[in-house]
Amino acid sequence: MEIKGVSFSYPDGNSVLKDINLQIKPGEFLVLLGRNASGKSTLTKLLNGLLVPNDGDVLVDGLNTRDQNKLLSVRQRVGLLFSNPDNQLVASIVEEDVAFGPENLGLPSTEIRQRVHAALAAVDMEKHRTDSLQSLSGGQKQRTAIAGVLALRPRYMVLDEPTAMLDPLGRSEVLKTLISINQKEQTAIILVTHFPEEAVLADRVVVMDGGRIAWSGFPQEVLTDPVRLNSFGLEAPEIVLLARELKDRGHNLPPVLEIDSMVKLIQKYRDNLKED
Amino acid sequence: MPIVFSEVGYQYAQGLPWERIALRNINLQVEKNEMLGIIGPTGSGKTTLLQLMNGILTASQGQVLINGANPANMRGTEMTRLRRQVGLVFQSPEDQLFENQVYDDIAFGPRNLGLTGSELDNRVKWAMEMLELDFASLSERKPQSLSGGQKRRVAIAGLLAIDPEYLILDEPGAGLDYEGRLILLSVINKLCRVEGKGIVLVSHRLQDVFGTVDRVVVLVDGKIAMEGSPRDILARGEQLEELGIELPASNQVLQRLTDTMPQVSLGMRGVVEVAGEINRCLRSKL
Repeated sequence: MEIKGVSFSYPDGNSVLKDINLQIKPGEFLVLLGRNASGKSTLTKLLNGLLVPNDGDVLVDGLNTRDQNKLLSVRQRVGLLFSNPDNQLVASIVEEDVAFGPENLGLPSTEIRQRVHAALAAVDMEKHRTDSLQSLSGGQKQRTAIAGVLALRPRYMVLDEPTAMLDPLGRSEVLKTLISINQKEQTAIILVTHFPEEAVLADRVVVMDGGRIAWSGFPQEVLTDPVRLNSFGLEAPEIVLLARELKDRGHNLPPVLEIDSMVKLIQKYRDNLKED
Repeated sequence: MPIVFSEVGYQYAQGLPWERIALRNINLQVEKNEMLGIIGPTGSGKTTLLQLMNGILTASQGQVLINGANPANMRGTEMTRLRRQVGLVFQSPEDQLFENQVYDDIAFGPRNLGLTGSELDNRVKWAMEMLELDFASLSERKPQSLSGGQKRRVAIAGLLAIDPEYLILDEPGAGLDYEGRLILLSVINKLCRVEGKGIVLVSHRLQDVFGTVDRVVVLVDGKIAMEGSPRDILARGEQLEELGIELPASNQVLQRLTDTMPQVSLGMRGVVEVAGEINRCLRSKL
């Protein structure tokens, strides 16, 4: 996916994106961070031709989103998902909802069945196959919505704050699902989020500010710099903040992003202190 | 006067085959000048509990007394008076903004109370000031043109303008970015500490709850599973995890360190306190 010199303004003249250049490889797991109104959501809508840039081009596997004749192929390649699962579920039963997309592609029924089965397996919702959507938790609903997109076999999956409305359990369910889809199905994931800790396992983190790409790097560099994150209106993961507080107290530990590694580091550090 | 729950139970569809128990045997008191946090997994009854606090729902068993009066026995005007005392901020309250100007949206409640002229003006200005919304630059704007965090604060200002004694907030920070959440938390704190409002705060972000409130109630399966100060509850992290509630990351680190450093004290509130405790143990080579 190639975003080349893209600028975008809404009809009221409010300029939202300015000269965005970004390449996303098939199979990549990319996280987009940024404060409110930094342009993240607008960018996601440009990726599948829901919006078309004023300047520059968005190319999906070489297909230009400006080209009306290619729009259907673009949308088959790029699946889009939003925060509120209730706004994007169309049926009343889990498997019927997941089948909605493939049915509209006019696929043979055996193929539809296969795809629904595989998609539900990928989001770990097989045992809720025949459940009513009403009876599901927020996390389960969002996983069903993800399965609905997955059943279309997109090469890229773009998710705009899919965990914003979920409780911590639902959030971790959805995040685990995305990581497993990325690893097993090789689907590229483009995840927009307010939660920097969701970027820990990404291949790359892109920070947006004022409609521009302000910073891009590995999670290990971006997430471990609380001062710079703050300057873009973001908060570092709590583990990183803990490491900084310990440093201020004279304990210089190498930066880590996960709880396990932090615990081990402190234990090792303490053993060394004891030997001194 | 407090909000008092005595042995309160609530069932949806009471008496029907699909009856569902939402709350059982709740004993709880909320005082003015106090901040109470309610945490619990999805479906544990938090929203039902909040709706019982201002008479949107009435108890199936037991009784709720709000400033000494029972909403179950109230009629129209009394109920209206109750809702003025206990303001409930729903999830995503900005969805309910409907006027063309910020001023009118916030003025809607006090106008209905009969306020006019400079009295009304002052009330709107006060509410905006409390919510850190600049009157000069924002009062004539369209609510839709504001940022997510500003919209949410306009919605809360609309409720505050009625001058309730209690403000009950259901996930007020959900979907906001870091800065939006910080401002909102400081506003909520001020409403209690400066203005003396009773605050009930429901949030999935445990860091926000533990860092703000005086007392925490943990609701699981419609029952109060734990109750205490934030430090009390954090000190019982294992019990929280058994209930399916994940501790904030720095408290998880502390909890895990007890395997090899049994002298670690667990009841630490926030990253700074956790770091202080780890530092203490490292310095004394415990």
